[in-house]
Amino acid sequence: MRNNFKEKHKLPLTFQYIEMIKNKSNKKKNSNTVFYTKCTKYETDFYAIEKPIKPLVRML
Amino acid sequence: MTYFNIFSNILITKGVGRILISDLQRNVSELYPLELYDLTEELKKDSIQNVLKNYDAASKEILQEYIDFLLEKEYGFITQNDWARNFPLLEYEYNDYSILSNIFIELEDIDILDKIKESMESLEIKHLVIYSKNQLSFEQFLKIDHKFENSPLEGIEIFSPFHTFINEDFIQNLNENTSRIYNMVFYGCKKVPFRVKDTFRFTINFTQQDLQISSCGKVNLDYFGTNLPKVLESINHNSCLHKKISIDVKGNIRNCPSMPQSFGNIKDTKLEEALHHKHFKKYWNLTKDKIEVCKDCEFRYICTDCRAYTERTHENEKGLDTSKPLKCGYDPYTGEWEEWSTNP
Repeated sequence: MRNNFKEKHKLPLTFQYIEMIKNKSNKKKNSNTVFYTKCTKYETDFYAIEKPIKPLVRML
Repeated sequence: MTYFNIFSNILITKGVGRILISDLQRNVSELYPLELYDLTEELKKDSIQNVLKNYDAASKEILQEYIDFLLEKEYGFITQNDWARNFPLLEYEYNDYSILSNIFIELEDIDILDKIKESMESLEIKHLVIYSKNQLSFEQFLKIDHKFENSPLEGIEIFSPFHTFINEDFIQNLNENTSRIYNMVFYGCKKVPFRVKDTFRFTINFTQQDLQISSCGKVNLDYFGTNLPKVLESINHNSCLHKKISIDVKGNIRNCPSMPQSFGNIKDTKLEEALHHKHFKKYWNLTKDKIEVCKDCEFRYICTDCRAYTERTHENEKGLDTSKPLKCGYDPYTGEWEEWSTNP
């Protein structure tokens, strides 16, 4: 911890051992992937866009 | 005394020949024999010991196996003594904050979207499905997506005829420049132009079929969905027409482009006005429990209904069509799937 900002009291949690697990490229989407877009109407840059809960048309 | 309790997120749908157990947390459904239903019903009322007492030695063994199986599948859990009142059932009410949830447009002219955009926002429509008879260019795809930039619309699905300049670059460009399209179907495609990657934000389908608006309404396993909002909507409302609005190719506002009744034309009627027509919502509360054949089917809450193409054999006292969907090949009485088009 380099940025301790002159902390007087030590934080209660100290990790003796940390195993780093490097992130695999997480580009593959799955059903939990959440996409977002801009939406000025709701004044957000993170408007979550979800797929419908059911197949809206069933043509195939 | 030990009791078997079913988890409240487990929904058991009883059909005439089988039961369907839906796990609404893991989003999977599985089929089981009817006798498992009787057992779960008995276990709701009494302790395991008392239930087993009513059976002979050979049956007891089978019942015990069933209980072990239910535990293994994590459909329920065991308690000492009767704690049933401490595990309340799931509330099956359905709440959706938006006034309408989706709109289906048979599109001829893209500019029609400008006309209805404001209404779509005020009605809080979340999903737009477009069926186009005409080929759509890259610019037109972009235009459709960009029209809804900054609007509360969450997703766009487009059915368009395939044309030869649709290739990997075309799709890659769309992936980079659109944000709301979540599914595209290119129909009348003789040969799939490239292998679709799963890194795209949307899904793509190439199909040889020449899709018409009348191709809709198919019922098969691929269209079944087990998730809590979907199942709750099906329990309380019509699983297709609830909160749906449509515009056919001539601009008529309908429940679905294939439904007979029109509630005005987009030229002179706003979507809000059509919604307030006294018959607009007439099918919204017709659940599968009131539809012939479907009411005996174990898939009735995970399936999506169709009121446009039905067998037209039954009508209820309000004049609503309560016949089985025409394009469903499943017979719940025999438990077999058949091709609906050859066996209507």
